[in-house]
Amino acid sequence: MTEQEPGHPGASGEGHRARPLRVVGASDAYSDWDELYADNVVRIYRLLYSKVGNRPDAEDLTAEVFLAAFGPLRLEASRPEVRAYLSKTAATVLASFWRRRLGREITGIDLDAAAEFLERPPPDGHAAGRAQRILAVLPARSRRILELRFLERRSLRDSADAMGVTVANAKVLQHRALRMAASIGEDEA
Amino acid sequence: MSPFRRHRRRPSEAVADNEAIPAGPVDDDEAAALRAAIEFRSTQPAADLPAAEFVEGLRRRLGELGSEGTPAAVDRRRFLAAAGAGAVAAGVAGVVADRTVLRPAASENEATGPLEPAAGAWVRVAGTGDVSAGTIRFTTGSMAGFVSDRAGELVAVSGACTHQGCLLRLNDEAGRLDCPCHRTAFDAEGRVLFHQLAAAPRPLPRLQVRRNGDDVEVLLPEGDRPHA
Repeated sequence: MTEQEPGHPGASGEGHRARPLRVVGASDAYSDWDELYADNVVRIYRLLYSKVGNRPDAEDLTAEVFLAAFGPLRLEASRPEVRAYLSKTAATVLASFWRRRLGREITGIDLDAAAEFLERPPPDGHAAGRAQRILAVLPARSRRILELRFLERRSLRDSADAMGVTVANAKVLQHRALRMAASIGEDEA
Repeated sequence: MSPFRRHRRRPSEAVADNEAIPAGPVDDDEAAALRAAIEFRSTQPAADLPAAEFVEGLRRRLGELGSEGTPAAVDRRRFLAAAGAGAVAAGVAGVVADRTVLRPAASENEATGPLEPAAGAWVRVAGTGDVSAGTIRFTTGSMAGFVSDRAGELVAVSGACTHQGCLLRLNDEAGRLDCPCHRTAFDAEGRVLFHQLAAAPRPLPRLQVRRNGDDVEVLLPEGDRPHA
């Protein structure tokens, strides 16, 4: 299990004292909290969605990040400093989420990559190409179940009907297809 | 034996349905499947954009936290001006409970009066039953727009993004109007929910709308007709 070094002192607590961002009076600082929130909420949500893949958890974690970060954050900090702080908080919040939820870390946040993601949010569907490449090399039925479930967003029952199999079979097919996709993805990485 | 055989839904299945990951231990096999499911889910176009009500709800929550101990009815601009550096000590106090989610660009708060054609005519764009079920989109020879029923009051807005004029798409699931060109979204009343542009675009112009019997009518340029 990979443990994430706690980056935000207020998020997971023990042994870490709150240390506010230093005041720099940056010329590109936010003019108010509304602006800070509006400029970053979608960036943080997208970052976290890419790590948990579902809306309810992405919403909870985004809320946790902002609730934890808003106290120590200072308006005079530059935008990159604010985003770096939010990234650290998100990394800590995500690591704690996985520990609580599954007892192991499934995905983590690399702070350099997160800083780049927050500074220049990638365009919509930016990683769809990699998903398509993985799908392309899967056997036909494995590819089909993943297309139905993830690209067409069909329910398991609908997908089972479309493939002419039972729901139980569709579940097994999906699980096997994801395992295959994972192993192809690891090879590609 | 897999821990998912009988009692528990697999986390990867939950992700396929865009639902919260169920708690409990996972083996290596499921961990790998879950990582793949997360990747597939999050790379789909527009899947990773937040719902309007979430963005607004969290903003309100932060505002409530920050406004503890501050007078409830403080005008936002006066409050921010008075707070100045004091907002630093006040923490989240600057996020106050109004409906503004935007950066305060000069264009943000410019009032956009309702669009009123020089020569207009009331034209049916939907039935009252259509809008009671949610927001509907209409197009005519000269424009696109959206009409919704907001607690009994009809609201119609232009369907063209105020940034560069791309035609907005109705995102029913998230309750917002998405710009397909840039990461910008409006609510059904035309307010900007979020954007990632250098400056906030203006709110959507309102259109004049009314009920006429079972019809929902919008004031359109004379001679303009809705597409079927």
